[in-house]
Amino acid sequence: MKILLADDETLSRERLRDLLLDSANGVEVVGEAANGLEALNLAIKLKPDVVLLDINMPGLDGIHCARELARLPEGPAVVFITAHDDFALQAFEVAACDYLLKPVRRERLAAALAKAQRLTPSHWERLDETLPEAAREYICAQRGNEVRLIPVAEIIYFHSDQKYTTVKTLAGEELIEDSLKSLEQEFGNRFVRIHRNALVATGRIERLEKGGWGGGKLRLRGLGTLLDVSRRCLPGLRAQLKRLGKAE
Amino acid sequence: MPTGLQAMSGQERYLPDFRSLATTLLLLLLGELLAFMYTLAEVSAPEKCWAELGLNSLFIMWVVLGSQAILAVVARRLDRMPATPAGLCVFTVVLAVSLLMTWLVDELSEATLESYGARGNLPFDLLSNSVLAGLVTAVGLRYQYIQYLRRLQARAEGFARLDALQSRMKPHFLFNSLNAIASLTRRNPGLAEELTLDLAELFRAILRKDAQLTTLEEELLLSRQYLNIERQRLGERLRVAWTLDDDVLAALIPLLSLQPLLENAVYHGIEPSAQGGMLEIACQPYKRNKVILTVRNSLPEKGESIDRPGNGSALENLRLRLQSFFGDEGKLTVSMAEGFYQVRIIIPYTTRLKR
Repeated sequence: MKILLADDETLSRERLRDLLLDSANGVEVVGEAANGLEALNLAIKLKPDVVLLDINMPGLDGIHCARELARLPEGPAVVFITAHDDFALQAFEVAACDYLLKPVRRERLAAALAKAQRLTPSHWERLDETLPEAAREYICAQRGNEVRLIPVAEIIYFHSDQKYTTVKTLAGEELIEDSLKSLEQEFGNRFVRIHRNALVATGRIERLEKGGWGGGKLRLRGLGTLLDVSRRCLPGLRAQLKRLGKAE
Repeated sequence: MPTGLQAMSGQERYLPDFRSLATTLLLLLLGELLAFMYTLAEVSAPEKCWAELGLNSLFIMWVVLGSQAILAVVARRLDRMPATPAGLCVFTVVLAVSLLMTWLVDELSEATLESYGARGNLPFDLLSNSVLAGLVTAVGLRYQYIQYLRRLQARAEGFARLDALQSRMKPHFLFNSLNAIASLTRRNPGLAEELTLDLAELFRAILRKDAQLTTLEEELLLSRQYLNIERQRLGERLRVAWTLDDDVLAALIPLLSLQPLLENAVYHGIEPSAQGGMLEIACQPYKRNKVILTVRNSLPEKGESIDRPGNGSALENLRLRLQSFFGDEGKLTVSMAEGFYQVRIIIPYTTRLKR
């Protein structure tokens, strides 16, 4: 069984490594990651069977990392590790997904690994439903074998074509697999729909200008071009702008 | 620094400090008010008004100052008494002084101012003056008592909250430390032992019930033990810089006032950052006879900060404790500048030994 360790504390990873060495029944540690993003990239590259995932990690934390892992084709099983049950641990129990408390006991670790082998994709879906509904701080964009994190705070707008969704930031564009609809649900308070194919960061809106065909044009901070506002989205956008106290 | 030391004696005082000039002025002012009221109520003709006021003021001043002089002499003893006997003592002293003064005035006016006339009724004067003095004193004492109760209550609330919070050191820290120790037990037993001892010292301090004040030196030792544990966990992500002035190490400070600040700094500033961060601790003299403690930490990069709860309560608790020990002289300020989060504590420099 190939195992990936993800924990920001070296001592913590060393301990897990020691425990796994002890059990020695065909277990192999294929990699170690010090944060969620590293874990994600190593998981894509090394294709481990199980990821032992610490919840409290800098940057992309364990929970959000697990969500991204769950989207991978043939993603690994995940065993969460945490120092204290400050997260909704019941959620994991409901989803029959295992978690371990630090300091980890040898027997518990062995039991968790045995259980992880039997984890099916449907468990993941149940986990996704039961996890606390926290909007992400990062969007993960996969380019080949590399995952990049885009801080949500830096996103100007999402734009969708038939198949892909584009994330536009000042730095450039990235393709992601999330649909506009799910993004709108997740970030409804920070982004507003201005067109069938566009979702804009409300914080970036500078002003709404008149446009042809009963629609409008939207000027965004840090962006040279104007974006089309469809006639259907205009009333909703106006209401949003009024709430924010921005001039039309 | 009367307020600081007073607070440190660990007791709220029921009676005002009879040895202080402020009390004298206050009592004189109240006495003068009483003289005004008495004169206005009694005077029959406007031309007599000033003369009456003068005499009444003179009389009351003598009673007030006489009583205060006696109370100032026995102030220490009064402070050690329970509230009710202390109040009775004050009451008796004021009554005795006013009776004495009435009798003296009567004697003098008979001897020298016979022409002034109808002041001769000694028993009636004794009675009316003692009733007046008694009533006024009773009202004053009652007012003091209510104030005293309110102070006690505020203090009790403060300490109750303190207890609840002190027992709630972040469990996150405890279990992570135990995990680090478990890991080191195999690879580096010596270090594991050291960490266990540091953790023990820290918990001994947290669980200590009696002593509320400690020297800055001891608090710094505790802080170092705490950071030693965190350094083992976080490695190079935790970078610490100390600026310590030897002159202030003897200063008294509430137990566990620095450590929670460091814990906050690590929890909110260092841990959430993959690159780690900087923690700066400074203890220096400040202005006249004060000490300033500064804890600064770098902030994680934008977007890196996970929403971690629980910062406000630790600060609020600390502010409350500083206030209960040092009154208005203990200050805590929080600021944010140049990517750093900074907490400053200013306390008076006191070195009196603990009880």
